[in-house]
Amino acid sequence: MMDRSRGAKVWPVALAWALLSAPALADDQSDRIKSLEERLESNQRLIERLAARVAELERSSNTAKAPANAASQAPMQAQNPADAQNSQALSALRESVDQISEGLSKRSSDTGLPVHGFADVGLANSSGPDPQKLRGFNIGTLELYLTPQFGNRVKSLFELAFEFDQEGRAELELERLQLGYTLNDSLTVWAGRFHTPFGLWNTLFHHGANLQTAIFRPRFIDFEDKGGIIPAHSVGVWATGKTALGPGKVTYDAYLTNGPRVRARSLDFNAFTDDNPGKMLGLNIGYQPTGVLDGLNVGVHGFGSTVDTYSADSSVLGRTRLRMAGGYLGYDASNWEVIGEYYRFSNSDARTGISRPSNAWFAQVGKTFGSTTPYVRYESASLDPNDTYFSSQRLGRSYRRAVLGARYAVDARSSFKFELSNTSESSVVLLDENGLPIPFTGVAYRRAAIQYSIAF
Amino acid sequence: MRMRAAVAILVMSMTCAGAMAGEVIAHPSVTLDSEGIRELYLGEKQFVGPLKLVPVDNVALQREFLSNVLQTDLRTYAARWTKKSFREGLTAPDMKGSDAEVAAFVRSTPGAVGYVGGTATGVKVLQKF
Repeated sequence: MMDRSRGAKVWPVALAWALLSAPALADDQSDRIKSLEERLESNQRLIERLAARVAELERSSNTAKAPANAASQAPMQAQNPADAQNSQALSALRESVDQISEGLSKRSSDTGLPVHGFADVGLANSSGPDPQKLRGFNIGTLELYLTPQFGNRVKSLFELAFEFDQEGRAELELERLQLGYTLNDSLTVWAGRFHTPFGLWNTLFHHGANLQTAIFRPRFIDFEDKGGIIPAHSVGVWATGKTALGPGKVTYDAYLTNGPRVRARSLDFNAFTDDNPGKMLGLNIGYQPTGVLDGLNVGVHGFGSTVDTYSADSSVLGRTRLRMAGGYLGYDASNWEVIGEYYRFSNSDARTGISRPSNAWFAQVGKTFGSTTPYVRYESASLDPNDTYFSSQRLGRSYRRAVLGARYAVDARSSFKFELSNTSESSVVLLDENGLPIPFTGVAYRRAAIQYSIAF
Repeated sequence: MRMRAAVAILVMSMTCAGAMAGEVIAHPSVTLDSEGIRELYLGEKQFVGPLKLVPVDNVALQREFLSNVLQTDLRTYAARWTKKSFREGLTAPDMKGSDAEVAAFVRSTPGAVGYVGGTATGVKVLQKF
């Protein structure tokens, strides 16, 4: 029996021992897990050996039976009890091997729904007139997406983006909510909110910073809240697929969505409902050859809609028939990355019918050496200042930008990038929230940025 | 002369046997040629007629499979599936831990396709690599 004074001495010692031995316990646990993993591997090897042995025994049993059958029926009958025992033992062994293997085969399917995503952080600085006013460290976008499947043909895609706007306010946005049905390998129909399938860039990279080689998107196809002049997102239905044609595949996308509107000097793709009956209808048809041209992707794209521009008091300032037709080219093979997109706008004022052509394009070329991909890009937008669709948007003005950068792939899921750009913008008269003219004086500015991005 | 021929044949057969890494296997319900296998693992094919295909990877043999059958490497393969998943909502092939796991899954799952280093029973062999 232990007396009280001895107990009082023992407890601090026990407590100290427990505290000191905590790391050791963690080590023990780690060792135990390692030991269990080793045992599991050993068991798997044993199962494989047993399966091979079962197959071997079955083969030898069959071989032994054949001559015996030919020789005599009577000795065969005499051996029957032994054979039957062997056969039963083999069947039992085979059954247990199958059960264990089947259990193991289903193991990784029971880990729940995987969450994928992207995240990026960076540092950037730009000279005075840059609309983004970059002056230091930033966190980019934390992007999470799920792709749950329901049966063989029903699928879905949910994407959430967390980011900060220019005023430092946190934003959470449901980027995509797509419910789809795959009819066959050539056609999937989606409904919901998706990345508008024009050109290549918007659907290939979008918020996936680690997917794209450059740090910044071309300005004119940037996101709506960052000054993009084309709706990067849409709500509606989208049919997409590809089918073999000659030495390659034809790819196609057709979509019918809410048409966009312009309000508060920004493009709004009408996520809740449409503001007018003019839906947006778009097509994207491409070709991906195989063989020596494997990696090439060329195509044409276009869309049209009726877009209203609203003043601060919600009155309509103008109505534009938005019409765009263009083409694109991509190449991703032999360590080359090429992407170029061209947009020709033939917008017209719905009231006067006057047509106002504009165009925008970019071309980016990169070449990978080991883990490093240096790249250059040039982008240009020549937008008619009398087109209300453009002049009522904050960044709906002509510009030219040259970009130079490099991406270093740290590993398959992370990369480090460095980018310099030089932008010049022409003088123009734009419209404010009330439709009043605001003169904009031409500017030139430079931007330098670094980014570290991951995919998971 | 016969001896030399026999030795040559033996050496050739050993060389060929050494070059073979494994077999692409499928549930007996699946019929797929080598181009179909390639398209399946690159996310370009999901069905054979009305049958939904279920490809699985085998961690023990993935490098050899990617190199010999898809003519690609692990990094490119992983990057491709990240893009496929992000753009098309597809799910990359589930990863199995051994030949036995792959064989058991393929045997018991209609539409399943996998690859193993040894010989599996109760499955259809689509291609050797």
